[in-house]
Amino acid sequence: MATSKENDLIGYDPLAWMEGSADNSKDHLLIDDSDTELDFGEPDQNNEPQFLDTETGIIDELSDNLAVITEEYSVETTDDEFLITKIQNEDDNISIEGLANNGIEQLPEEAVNSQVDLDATLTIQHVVKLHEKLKKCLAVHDQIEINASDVASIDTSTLQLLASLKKDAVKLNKQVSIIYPSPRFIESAQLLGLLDILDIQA
Amino acid sequence: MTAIDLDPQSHLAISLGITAHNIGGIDEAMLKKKTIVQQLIAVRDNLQLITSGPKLKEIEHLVKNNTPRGVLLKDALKLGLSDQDFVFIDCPPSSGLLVANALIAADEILIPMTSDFLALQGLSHLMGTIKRFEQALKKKYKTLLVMSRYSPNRRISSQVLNVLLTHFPEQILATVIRETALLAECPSFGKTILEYSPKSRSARDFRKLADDFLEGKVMYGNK
Repeated sequence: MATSKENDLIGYDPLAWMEGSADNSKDHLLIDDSDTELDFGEPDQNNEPQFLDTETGIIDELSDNLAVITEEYSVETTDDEFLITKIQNEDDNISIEGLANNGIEQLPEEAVNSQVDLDATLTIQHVVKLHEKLKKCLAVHDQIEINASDVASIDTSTLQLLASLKKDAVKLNKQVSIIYPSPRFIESAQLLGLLDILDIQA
Repeated sequence: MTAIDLDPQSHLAISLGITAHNIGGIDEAMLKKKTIVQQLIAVRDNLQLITSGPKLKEIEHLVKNNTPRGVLLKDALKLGLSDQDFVFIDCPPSSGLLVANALIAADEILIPMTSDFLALQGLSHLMGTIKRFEQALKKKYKTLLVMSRYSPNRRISSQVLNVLLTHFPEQILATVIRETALLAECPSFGKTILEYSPKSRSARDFRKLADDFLEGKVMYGNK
């Protein structure tokens, strides 16, 4: 995270993932395709890849992934407020409700802690992992607590995820509480008008 | 030198004064209806242009089902242009099939960056794409950045540049292109800045940038 006094007009550094290992090239994508090997095919005799048949290949994967990124999160700015809009579609796989009921491995309750501690820095690069953690937690617990005491920086995608979690938990008759929110967390939630949805006090 | 307009919006061709919409270009070469040499238009001394062509935006649907779609441009380039000192491919801003074709065909990548925060976000996505191509193709691109539309009076500009220097040490060309009104005006007249206002500050910036590119003159990084 390249937030510093000398860069005080830049809230977070979208290129920070480049400082990690080569595998981190996937981290900035919202879609967790880390288990999906791209099918490039085998090199031919001229050492040129045979990939890109019409149905599989990097082009479909990359363009689809990037398209989903732009579709799933949309932050619109109006004159005096931010409106966070979650684009609704049938394949909306960010929906906690849908994921809580579908395709989640049923883990024993004791294997997943009912309290989730948020990291200090929460950006779009980390939202997939947090999403995974939260959906597993929600799948096995009726009541979960999200400890936001360490949060020093949080972006709109993470706040949107938490807002979505709160809403979907209600539909599932489950309870999600955000506990010990840090001043920065409160400030960010207040800026986006999410204090009520997240049920926290300013 | 040859410039290929791989952006269906045809901004490169329009900026060079080619405004006709129905001229076939790289689209027909990628679809193997024409060779790439047949599509060349001499637009300036030592500068040839290949326009995008009207079918480029729907090329994904026009390719025969059993044709690999990622190597259309690379295959087209095999049939010509080997005598050129440089072939520049102007890419569309979004990712997808056309950018994939460009990445597969290219050896080097030159990324123009505006000096605002959202450009950093876009660059992050692009670098992720490039790294995945590098892994899959087992090649390493020479990647250079150009700071464009730079406003020295805005603090965010210098801070964006600072972030870039941290991540791309010695990969940013030494001359920044400063924001001016002239640069916004000249495309509508189909002229480059060197033709539209040759003595302007912007023209000087671009001449210096061209020298930097040829000489490999870059900014030192923060690391």
